[in-house]
Amino acid sequence: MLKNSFIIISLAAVYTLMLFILLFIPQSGNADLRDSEKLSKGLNIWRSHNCSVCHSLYGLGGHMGPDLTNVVSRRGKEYVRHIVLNGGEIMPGFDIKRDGMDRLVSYLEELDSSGKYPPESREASGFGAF
Amino acid sequence: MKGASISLALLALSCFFLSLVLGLVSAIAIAWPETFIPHLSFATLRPLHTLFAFGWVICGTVFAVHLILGKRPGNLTVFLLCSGFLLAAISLLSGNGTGREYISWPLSVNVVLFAGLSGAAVSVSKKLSSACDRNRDAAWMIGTGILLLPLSLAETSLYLIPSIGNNIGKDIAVQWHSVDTMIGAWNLVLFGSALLIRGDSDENNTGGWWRTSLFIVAVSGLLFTFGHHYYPSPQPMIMKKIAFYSSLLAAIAFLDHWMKRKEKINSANITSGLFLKFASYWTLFSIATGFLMAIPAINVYTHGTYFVVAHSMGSMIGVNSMIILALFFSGIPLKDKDFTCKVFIPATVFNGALLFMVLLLMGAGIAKGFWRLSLDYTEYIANHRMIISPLPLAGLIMLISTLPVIREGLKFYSSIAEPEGEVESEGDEEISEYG
Repeated sequence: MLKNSFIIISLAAVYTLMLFILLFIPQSGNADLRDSEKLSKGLNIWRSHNCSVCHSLYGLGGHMGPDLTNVVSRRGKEYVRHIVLNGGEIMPGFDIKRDGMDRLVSYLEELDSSGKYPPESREASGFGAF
Repeated sequence: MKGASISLALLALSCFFLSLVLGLVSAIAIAWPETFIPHLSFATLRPLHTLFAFGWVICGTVFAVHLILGKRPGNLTVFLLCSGFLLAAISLLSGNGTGREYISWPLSVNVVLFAGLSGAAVSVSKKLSSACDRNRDAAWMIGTGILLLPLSLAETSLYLIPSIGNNIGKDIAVQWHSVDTMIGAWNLVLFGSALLIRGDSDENNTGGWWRTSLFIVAVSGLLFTFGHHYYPSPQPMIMKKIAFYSSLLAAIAFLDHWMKRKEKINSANITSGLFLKFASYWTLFSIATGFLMAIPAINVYTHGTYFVVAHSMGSMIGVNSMIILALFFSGIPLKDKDFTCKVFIPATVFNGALLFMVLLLMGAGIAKGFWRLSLDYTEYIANHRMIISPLPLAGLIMLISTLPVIREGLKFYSSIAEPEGEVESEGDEEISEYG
């Protein structure tokens, strides 16, 4: 039992260590938000409207709608505003005020600059493009 | 509080039923959105479906491991878990979610669930020495898993720290590290408990280097493979590389399960044996698909598609649910005729429908993986939906076929006062209530 206790405690310690390493190692790409207060409000709008239920970022999230990692560079800010307010083929429109919409678009714009997704060719790196 | 642990069993089975119902409705919404979405908010539907699936696995795991160890969970633990999942459902129904994937209920509910899972960890740890006497591997697996369950749940709330939550990369990292660890944790508890009902003693285990290899594979799978979920995102490259090499070790686990696939399963009863057999096949499927997805050249096609969903369905329904049912039914005596009508036929149909569902999802995932390289989303989405259009049929068959099994479980556990076993003491008064 002593050996088992040692294994359990060791694994819990490695788990904690992994978490710390994960949070303190520099990331690849431009993942840090530059204006955190403004952009965190955009992120709050993303979360409060449950966007990840249907949409993914970097392929993580819902698959019902398109991935939105690079939606700003692919479609433009005005397109994003129009779709969010008026809805799309199956997407409902959302009643978001101008200020909130600006923040949401700023968040998506910043996300856009952090990397590329989905891959655009078969030669794309499996570890991401930044 | 009499019958508290039975409440946990009933809550788990109810969550299982509700997750299947909401899964069916979600499948209709996904396959035929034009007809459904205007009348139903998918933003409410999906978090609820996920909540009940997590409720089923977490409550089922906590109940089952106590059942197998011959110990009743504490009344307070059961109360916290039951009220936690109930509060989570109310929060999500009233639109008070966090908007995050999987763990989308508010922080206050997470605190209640954390307290409940911590109580379960304390309760189980008191019985680990006896489990160790029966099977040492089972003991470390259960002990580690039950400890990491509350820790990983707590980790899901780390995004509330501004330096993490406002950073795209760290937010994703914490989200996937915590959820992957949680899934790994309940897998450890379930596989450890399954070892105990299989009656495998240490003498039956393959010894020496093979056993050590399997231990390393299990540990690396638990602690280091989370990174393969986010290869394309801006994360530390070292983490992706560690995840890649750790994931490749899963080949050893696959080999082990493949060699054992035809072995006769010793189990408490014929029903448990059947569910464990299904679980063993789904384990092969889950390891194989997980291994493939961890290869970067394949991940380019599978990541962000329904292929990942197929893997998680095989894992959560095929492996986790089958093991939980095996553990639940280890205490339910069934006559041969009842076994055939109420378990064997429904369970076989259920697994057949699940196989159909994962094949549909894999097909849709691979197709999307290729289409998106050259086509815009709007150009391929109609064909994509056509592939998954039979999804509700699979969901309907799964729901109908599982009803007799759930009914048997509910009937048995609601008809007894308490399973055999010593009660976790939280006060003398409560102990006396069990009589």
